[in-house]
Amino acid sequence: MRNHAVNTNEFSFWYGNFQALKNLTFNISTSKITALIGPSGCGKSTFLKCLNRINERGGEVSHEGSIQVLGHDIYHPSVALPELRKQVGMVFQKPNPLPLTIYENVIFGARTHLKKVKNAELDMMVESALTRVGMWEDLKDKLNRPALGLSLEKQQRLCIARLLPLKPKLLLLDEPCSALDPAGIEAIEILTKDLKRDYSIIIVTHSMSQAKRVSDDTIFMYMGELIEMNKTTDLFNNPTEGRTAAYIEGRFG
Amino acid sequence: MFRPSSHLINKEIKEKKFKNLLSSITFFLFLPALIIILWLAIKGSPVLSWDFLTQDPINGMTAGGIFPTIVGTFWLVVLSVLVSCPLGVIAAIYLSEYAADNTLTRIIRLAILNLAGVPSIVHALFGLGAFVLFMKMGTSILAASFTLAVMNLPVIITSTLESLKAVPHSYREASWNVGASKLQTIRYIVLPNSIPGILTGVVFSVGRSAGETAAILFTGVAFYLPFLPRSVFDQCMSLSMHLFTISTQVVGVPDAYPYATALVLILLILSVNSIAVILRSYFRTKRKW
Repeated sequence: MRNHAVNTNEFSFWYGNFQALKNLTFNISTSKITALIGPSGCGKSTFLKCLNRINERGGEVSHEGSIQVLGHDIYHPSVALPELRKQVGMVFQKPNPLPLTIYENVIFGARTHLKKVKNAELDMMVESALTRVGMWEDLKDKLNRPALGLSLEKQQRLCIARLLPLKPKLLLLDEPCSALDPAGIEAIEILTKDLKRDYSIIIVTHSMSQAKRVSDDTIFMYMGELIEMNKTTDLFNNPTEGRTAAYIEGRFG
Repeated sequence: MFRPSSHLINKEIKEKKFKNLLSSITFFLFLPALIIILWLAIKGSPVLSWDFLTQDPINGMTAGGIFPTIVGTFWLVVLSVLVSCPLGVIAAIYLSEYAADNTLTRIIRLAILNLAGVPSIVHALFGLGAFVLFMKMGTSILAASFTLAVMNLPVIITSTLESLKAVPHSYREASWNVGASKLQTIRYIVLPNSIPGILTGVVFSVGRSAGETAAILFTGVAFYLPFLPRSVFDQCMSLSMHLFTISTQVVGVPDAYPYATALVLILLILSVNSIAVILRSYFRTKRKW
């Protein structure tokens, strides 16, 4: 249990009548990068969104089974969603900085969680978060500019940076590079690998090569089911399931 | 190479014609507004003066000024906006941010749209029944303002809903995702970005209130009062009602009086609207996206 960031047990999930996830049972290790791959609509994004329950806003959803994050059941009635989301941060496919300044973006989460924070502490948070994502030198004189004026890659880094003052345990990256150019992708991948030291990371990706480059473990999903989970090198070199092999060779998906 | 084909030339001619058509239609729509204001100014000029704005009407409203009607209109508009604006914005926030999309809320939305289509004379009767008689406010500024507020609610709710919807959903998602509550998200992200739109709705309702006659007819406006209202429980005069009275009900009013009164009413509404335009552009420049 101790070194599992996520344990799912017979977890199923429905949007209305549509079953998006079927009986998922697996463990995800801490301080590792786990890639979720599979064709569109296979449920990988849905699973990611279950981990901080962000998918409960848009109407009828239901679930069976359980998910534990760091040993705690996230569907337990005592769970406060803001607290869960604070500890399980998500980065979306499309960079979505808030329509505020760069500075306010980084501390937005901290402001919503802490009652009173001294300005000096906020300044510290901004500096350390931006340093961590490698943008402090670049942006330290531009903190009051609108975040939406940044390039897409920097916006995405900012979206990662604004999670850090909350001291999350788990980072969820939902195809974080799909809106970026090759240089941006490389930068985000390097950052992701660097963040692994301090955070457990789950990354959903459509790119097989990205999964190979960044992840330690890989999970292949298909039609809401877990087909295969293994160390990334093993899964890509010796897939045990026919469907995994077919997908990673590009025969469908 | 790269020379336009005859088909392309035709296309460009059509394009030009269509553009000219649109611009001339737009211009002719603007023209009446200009003509009306000029016409009123010319016909009303004999009586237009500072005294006209600051004196009481005298000689059975056939001479003097319109000061009490301006005061009355001001009371009515301010009070009705104070009532309808918070109620309308709150209702819109609930409908847009909190309410589930089910049969009940769809009926509520439909009811609000229909409320916007209710003729103002019907609002007046409702105000008479509900505020004047049932709540025992009597014919008073209060009852008339409440009636105006009810009339303006759907406009404010609808325009607020539209401007809330215009804030991209991804902003809300981003805010929730760092653990902000719905209230925090509304307070720090949604409202600041929808204020220009909300303001527009409010100001339109100010214009409507200022010009409205029927809705206040039975609920709080008098033909003529020899004194200014001292509290919201008094009756008052209003510009719109006064215009109606001196144009149709009083004998022997010089021609220029109704024109001048109408001009004051229109200019009042125009100036309120331009305040809205200025505010909107101010908020736009402050916007971070």
